[in-house]
This record gives sequence, C-alpha cells and structure tokens, in this order.
Amino acid sequence: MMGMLARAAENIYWLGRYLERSESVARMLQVTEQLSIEIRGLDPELAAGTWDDLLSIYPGSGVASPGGDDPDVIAEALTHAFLLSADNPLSVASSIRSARENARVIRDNLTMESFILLNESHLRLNQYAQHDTTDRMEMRRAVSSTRQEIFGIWGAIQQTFTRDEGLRFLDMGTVIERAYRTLMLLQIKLPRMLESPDQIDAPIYYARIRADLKTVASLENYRRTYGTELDPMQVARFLLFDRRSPHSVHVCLRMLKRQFDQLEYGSPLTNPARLLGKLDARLEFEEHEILASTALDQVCSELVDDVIEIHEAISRLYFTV
Amino acid sequence: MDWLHSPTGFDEAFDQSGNVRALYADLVEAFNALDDTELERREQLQEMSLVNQGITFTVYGESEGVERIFPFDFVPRVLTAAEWNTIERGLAQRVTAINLFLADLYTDQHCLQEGIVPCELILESDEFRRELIGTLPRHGIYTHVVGTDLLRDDAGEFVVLEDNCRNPSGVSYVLENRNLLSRVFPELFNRYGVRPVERYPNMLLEALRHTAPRGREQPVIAVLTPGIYNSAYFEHSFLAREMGVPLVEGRDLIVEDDQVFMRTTRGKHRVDVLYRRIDDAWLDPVVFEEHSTLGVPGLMHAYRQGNVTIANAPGSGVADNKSIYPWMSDIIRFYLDEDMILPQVHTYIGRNADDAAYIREHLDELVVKLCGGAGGYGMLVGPMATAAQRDEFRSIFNANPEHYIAQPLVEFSHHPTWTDDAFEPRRVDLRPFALFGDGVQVLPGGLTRVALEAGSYVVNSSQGGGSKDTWVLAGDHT
Repeated sequence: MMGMLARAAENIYWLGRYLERSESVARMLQVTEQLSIEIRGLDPELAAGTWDDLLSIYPGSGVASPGGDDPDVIAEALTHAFLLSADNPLSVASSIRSARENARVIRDNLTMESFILLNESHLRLNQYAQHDTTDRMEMRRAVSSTRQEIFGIWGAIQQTFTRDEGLRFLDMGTVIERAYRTLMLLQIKLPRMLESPDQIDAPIYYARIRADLKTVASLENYRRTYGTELDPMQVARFLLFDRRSPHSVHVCLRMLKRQFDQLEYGSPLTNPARLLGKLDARLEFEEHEILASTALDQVCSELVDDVIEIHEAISRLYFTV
Repeated sequence: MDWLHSPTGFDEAFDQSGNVRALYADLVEAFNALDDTELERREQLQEMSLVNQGITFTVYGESEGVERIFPFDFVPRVLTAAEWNTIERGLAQRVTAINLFLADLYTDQHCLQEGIVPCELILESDEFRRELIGTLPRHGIYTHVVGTDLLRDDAGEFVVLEDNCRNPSGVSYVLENRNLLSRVFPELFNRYGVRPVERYPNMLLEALRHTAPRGREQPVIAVLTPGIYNSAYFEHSFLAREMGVPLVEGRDLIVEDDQVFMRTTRGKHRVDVLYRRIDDAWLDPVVFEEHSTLGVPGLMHAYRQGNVTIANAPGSGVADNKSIYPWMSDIIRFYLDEDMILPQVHTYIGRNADDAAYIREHLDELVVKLCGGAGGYGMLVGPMATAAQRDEFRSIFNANPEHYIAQPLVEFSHHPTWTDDAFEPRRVDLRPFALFGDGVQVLPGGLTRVALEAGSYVVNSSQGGGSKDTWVLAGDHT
C-alpha cells in the first residue's frame, strides 16, 4: 500500500494537535474566569491565584504573571495573552493560525468544508486581534464562539474526510495532545486537590474540583458516572483511568493505540508500538498501584514524559523518511 | 442603472452607436432588474466567499508574503459557439505545431536546416536546452498545458498575443469564478446555455496519465510546487486536490537509480509523472541552477532516462520566446501544411534590415520588445514615451537591432465592468487553456483578465487587474 506523503502526514498530525490545543486553551480560559468570579467574594486572593494555574499548565507560553492582586487586571491581561496574543505560541489565535498554516500546506488533503470553517475562524480571531480588544465581554464572546467553531471544524472533518491514513494522523495528533494536557493538569492540580478539605472553605474546595473537571471537559461525564459526589481520589481515578470519558488519559492512549495498530496492521513491531503497548499495559494493570502512590503528581509527570517519548517515536517513524 | 460604452476599440457588449448587442441583451436586462442595494449585497457576498475560502494569491515584497484575493468582476464575458469554434481550432493548430516544432528542434532540426526559422534564434535562446537534444518525451508531447493570450482587435477579431508554454497559470480562477458567479448571481444563467468548465482537472489528469513513462499503466502522479509562499500556491493545491493526487515540494522527492521517489509514511514510493509548477531553472540543482533549493538533484537524469514524465517538458520555453512569435505562421505551414487560423499582431523583426529601418523611423507608433526580455524589461511603449526617451532607446536599439521585435500598439477590447455605481467599459484579454494528451483539447472557457482602472492596459493581478467568468455558449443564443 502507498503511504501518504510524509510531510503531509506530519502537517495533518500537527493540525490535530493545534486544533485540540486551541480548544483546550479556550476552555481553560472560560473555566478559570468562571471560577475566579465565583470565589472572588469569598477569597479574593485565591480568585486572583486561580489564574496562575494557567501559566503552570502551559509552561511554554512565555507569558509572565501580570502580578498584583486585582483579579480584574489579571483576568484581562491573561485572557488577552492566551486568547489573542501573537507573542504567545500557545494562545488560541496562535494555535488556530498554526492549524490554518498547516491546513494550507496540506490543502489538497483537506475537504473544502473543513478548510473553509478553519479559515473563517482564523479570520475572525484576526479581526479581534487587529482591534486589539481588551473589552472582557468581547473577549468572552470570542472565546466561546471560537470553541463552537472548533467543534464545527471537527464535525466537518469527521463527516467529510476520507477514512484513510490522513484521518488517522489527525486523530493521533488530537488524542496525544489531549492526553498530554490532562496529565499536565493533574500534575499541577493534584497536590491541592488532595489537600484535606478542612484546611480550606468547603464551597471553594468543591468549586475548584468542579472547575478542574471542567477544564478537561469532564464534569458532565464524571457526574454521569459518580453523581454529584466529588471525592478527589475518585476524580483522579476518573481522569486517569475511566474507560468511557473521552478526556481520560487511558481512553486517549487507547484511541491512539487503536489508530496506530490499524496503521501498522500486520507490520513487524515498531518503536511507537512497543512504547504504546507498555504504557497501555501499565494503565490497564497498575491502576491500584498508581492510585496508591504517595506522589501521584510525580507519577503524572512520568506519564507526561512517556507521552512525549511516544510523540517523538511517531515523528521518527513516519515523518523523517 | 447606467451602462457606459467605449468610444474607442471594440466594445464586446455594445455596438458603435451604443446599442446593446443581441448577445448581451439578456444579461443587461438581468442586471437592470437588480437595484444598487442588491448589487452591493451580492458584491459583499462574493468578496466574503473568496476570503473565507482562502482563494488568494501571495504578494511578495511585503512582510512574509501577504495574501490577497484576486478581484472578481461579476459581469460575465460571453463568447458565441461560432467564435469559440475558431479559437478552439486555432489553438489546437498552434499547440500541435508547437509540439512538432519542439520535437524537431530537439532531434533532427529540419526546420533549421531548411531555414524555416533562423538557426541563431534557437541557438542564442536561453530556453533552448542543448543537453536535451535526443531526449524525446513520451508521444512527443512537450506542452501538456498551454495558456495562450488573446486580444480582440478593433474589428472584434481574436488575435494571438503570445503562447505560454512553460507554466501557464490561472486555470483555478476559471473554475472558481464560475463557481462563484453561479452562486452569487444564479439568475444570470437562466437564459444562456453555458458550457461547463469543471471537467478541467479530469482532462488534465487524463493528459498526464496518457504521457506517463512506458510500462507504468497505473502511474503515480504528483503536482510539484515551489511551496506555500509561491504566488500561485492556491492553484497548485487546488489542482492537486481536484485531481486527487499529492502536492509535493522538491524536498519530498529523491532520485535513486535514475528513478524519482517521494518520501511517504511507508518509505519511498516511485513517482511517474510530475506536473511541475517550477520553472526549468529550478528543477534540478545538478543541471540548472545550482543554488536551487526548490528542485530535486538528479531529476533531469531520471527524465532523460525516460523514467519520469515532466509536464510541461523541460526545454519547452524555447517555443514561446518572443523571437519565435513572428515565425509561427511559417512553423504551422511547415509542419501542418495549413494556413494559420488565428491571426497574430504584425511584427517587425529587428534582424531584418528593412524592418529595422521601419522601427527606427516609427518608434512613436510601436511597442518595441527585447526578445529574451520579460516583465517589461528592455521595452519601449513608443506612443506613451517622451521624445527624449525614444531618442535614448533608438541608440540602444541601433547597437543590437537583432535583439528586438516591434509591434504596433494593439488596442484591447472593452467589456462592461461594475465600478460601484455604473457599468463601465474596461480593457480585457483572454487566456484559454489547451491540454495535450490523447489529442489536443481546449477547455471551453478561459481566464478573462480585466484592467479595473479606467484607461489602464494592465490586467495583471499584482497590478490592479481582476478577472471575470468567461462563458462559452453551447449553441446559438436566441
């Protein structure tokens, strides 16, 4: 069978990563703002501090903390930095721009419907950036409409793409980015989540856990499984091991493995297959050991390294010919 | 709604007394049924559609290449079946003759031996590739795609201005303009039987398949582009997508054992046909431009071994050199024993002593062109130049008259064009596209370029030009 052009495969894989990244940053902006508004009357300092997590979960942003303790000033600066800033490579606008650049390069592989929606989203964000909007209502609207647009793009892709290698690379890019972000979130948030609730106001404590679940688009999925009971260990288990939630690390890696196995059906064992098999087995059979660990955030950090290694192995196998 | 007509040159929609021609009456009526607000609404719709679809070209010289849309004028240009028939036959004749001429130049050179074309014209031409003598492309087809630029003279007669035998571009706009016009102004199509153009990618694919190397029955075809920053990148990706073939860059290709491979996710895969949108000079750093990062080392060797088809074939450019143009009628007669169907602009040849004397004395009436020049370099537009400029040019010309040709300034025809408050006459040209595979086929339509500025002759997209949908009618318009 003839493979697809290696450069095109790499572009399409990164298109998946950029789309997922832009949606995840937009989602995180929404959730952070919401949480900060909810708790600012109770604990203004903590409300301002919620924004710091954004910087920790996206260490590559190069964005400096605006400082001070006025939640409005902080919110405005960071929303701008993570939504529109061209200097921040992880901002929604930068990711959409990169996604669109990648899409232009492989336009012959994309369907018209998918390209047009992506291009429209890029142009709209460009307009916001050109007006240098700092108005928060405007930015809120931009965040929420951009998220909807990204879902539209995914819909168009899923409905119109040929079921071939290209779609597999796109899906692989999407789920590897998602697994990576969920693990980054857990790594940063787990220590605080696992603090005893006595040390902090209960409403704030639970609002934060709810926000964490929302950050990885999993609150509704969680409730469907466990109802309204928010036990931190249960949340950690859910985000790492749940088999039905599309954002759980195990589900992401299984989707990745499935796409990969189909690409490599009948081929001799490759390096990414070996790494994926090992990681999948660990998540499958070591759930109890992992959850019992006293340093769960440390385990998450190891898993982040594993995901990065898989990404590198995939790049070497397919994109460097 | 105001419709102005042109007092000079041929107006395609109005006769000399300003009455609308029968062919255009229904169109004028259809536009008159729309008011200003409606026209503005449609215009916005059309512009938004181009921007959203990313139908753009890249402008250099500005920071990191700015994407612009190619302005589209919604008043379609209409050609009758009879007019088209002449154009079609004329182009098929030219393309056939050009390919016989090229095959002859690169083999036995009968045309030079018999003095049909002066030897030195060919030997002095930069586009003539001596190293390709003896390499005959499959079926002797050099120019798989030719875009010929035509003008309509004062009598409404189509005249050939030049053939583009290297990398003619613009066909994606022919298809997209049709697409756009039919969505934004569907009512215009009610009373005209317009021949469709959307088959072009199939026609191109068939022509490329037909010329694949021997023994490659299921050829792997790819479009070779210089990359995303090339001004015609949209067209390259458009054609690749429409044909369902990969769009490759030089760095995606590798030559081993005189065969061309592309780098895929499953290793190297052989490529049989390259529809290249890179100029000859950049194709292969080993043979041509050694600093080329766009090309593929070893590609020309693979081509000479007959292991890969390059479309258009390297070395085709010699046929569309300005110095060859005056001999086209002789070339057609020599190879086909036919009279040239489409007339050309009368051309004075500098190497011919009588012509040189005429040129010297009539600089104020002539457009003088340097044969190897392009893009206006080394050119004098006599009627627009000052006396001092003409004098200066005369002495340059006298030093090497054989390097020049000259033509009377040709008036373009005019066509109604929307200018935001009226339909005004603007100059237009026409570039139809001919494909050569299993015979020559001409796409029924073409790129009509329009000079959007009043009084301007410049139809180029980078300098204030736009384009129109071009309709070829299937039968008589009643």
